[in-house]
Amino acid sequence: MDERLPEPLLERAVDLAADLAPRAAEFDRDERLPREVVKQMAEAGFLGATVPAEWGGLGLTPLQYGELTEVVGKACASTRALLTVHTSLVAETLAARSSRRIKEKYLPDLARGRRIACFALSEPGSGSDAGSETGEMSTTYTEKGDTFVLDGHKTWISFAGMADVLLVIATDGGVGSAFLVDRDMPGVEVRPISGMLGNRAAHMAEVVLSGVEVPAENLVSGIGAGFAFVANRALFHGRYSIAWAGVAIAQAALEEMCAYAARRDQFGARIGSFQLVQKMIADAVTDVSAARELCRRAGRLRGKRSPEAIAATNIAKYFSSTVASRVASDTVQVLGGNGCWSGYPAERLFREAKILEIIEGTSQVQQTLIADFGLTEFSKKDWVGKR
Amino acid sequence: MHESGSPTDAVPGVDARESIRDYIEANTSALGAGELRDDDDIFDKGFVTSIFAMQLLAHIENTFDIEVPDDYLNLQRFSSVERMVEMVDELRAVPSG
Repeated sequence: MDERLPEPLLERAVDLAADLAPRAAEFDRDERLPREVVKQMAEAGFLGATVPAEWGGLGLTPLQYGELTEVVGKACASTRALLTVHTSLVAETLAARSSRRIKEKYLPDLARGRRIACFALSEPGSGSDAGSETGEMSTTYTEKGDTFVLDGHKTWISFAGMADVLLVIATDGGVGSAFLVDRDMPGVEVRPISGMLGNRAAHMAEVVLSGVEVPAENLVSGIGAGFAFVANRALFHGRYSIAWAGVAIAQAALEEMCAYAARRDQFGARIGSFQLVQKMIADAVTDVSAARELCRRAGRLRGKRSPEAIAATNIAKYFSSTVASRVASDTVQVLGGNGCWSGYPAERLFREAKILEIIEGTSQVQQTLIADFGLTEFSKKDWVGKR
Repeated sequence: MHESGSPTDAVPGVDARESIRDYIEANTSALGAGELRDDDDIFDKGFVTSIFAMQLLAHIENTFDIEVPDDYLNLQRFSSVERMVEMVDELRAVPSG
């Protein structure tokens, strides 16, 4: 499997990141990723990163996508969020699990960034439990002739504020199904959300669906596939993206920490020479390396379509988002007062890192899944390692 | 219920019932749900969670070299060994293409 981005694509990504990095604070402050950045991402082909070439995408392998996500995410978390949402959660899921008709209707536009997509699962009363029997999902669908009628209220939907297409999960008496809803269908109302902790420029919004008539052909997979096969697959892709987003934030924070410690004098010496600061640097270097390797392992397993990729992705997401938070927090610590001020990137990285411990399955959800995997895999005490 | 000699059993190399049973048992939570019966609802009885459905789908498609079409993708079809064997039989009986 190709592990590294081809050189021309890597150059394109590095150039784009160099353009984004100095502007990330401005996007964060304005709570808005400019359309022109979306256009840059589209022109670079990155919005179709993992979409097969036959549908207009770059057809990157999971490891190549990971490298791209790290490069973009290190420069700007909100731009990286566009990759997570539009490319991983929606386009990659449609490429894997939708009818040829849906692919023809939507995928080429999504792959080339002519239309932007978002993923609408969470609701005011339904989050981590959205797919469970006890979940309180209230967005419903009703079959009516050649259409499905959707009613409900979604929230915390990244990029809903600018999306043209929404992948909506809804239920009919506990039978979850997934639908592609065009933003301009009658009955779709988008209400922007301001004041987020992180991913501030990711056009977060609530979506209210009132009697939205969706053509039957926009049903993604079959009736009843919504949670188990569409939402779970979308989250499987999204978690992999977030795992790399953690590496990106942690690497950015590590570089800030080291650069500052190497030039800041206190007590007549560079603070990087103090052992307590060195402890933070050593832990950060070690943690970032470990997180990146866990992501690569998940990527290799995904590339082989191994069933182990699911647990490996959960482990990578849990670890790297935790590492991002810890390293970003230590970076604020090393920078002291400067770390608490928006004139330096540390405080923004600290906020962005926290988001990663919550989205695409909280750390607690990941811990539960990983513990279940551990009990299944290791309780028999005959584990001798996998090749 | 398919006895021996069912369409699936007739295909050389892979016994659907045994393969599906083995796969579920290998992935059943160690906290235990008792002995697996072929008609047990594996989700209701806590053998696996609904997230495992994705793995089951991949296992079935890879092992039996079939593509599970959209209208088969609901938890009911994957809810027991019996139902999955029926699904595999049906799909193998249909010429692909």
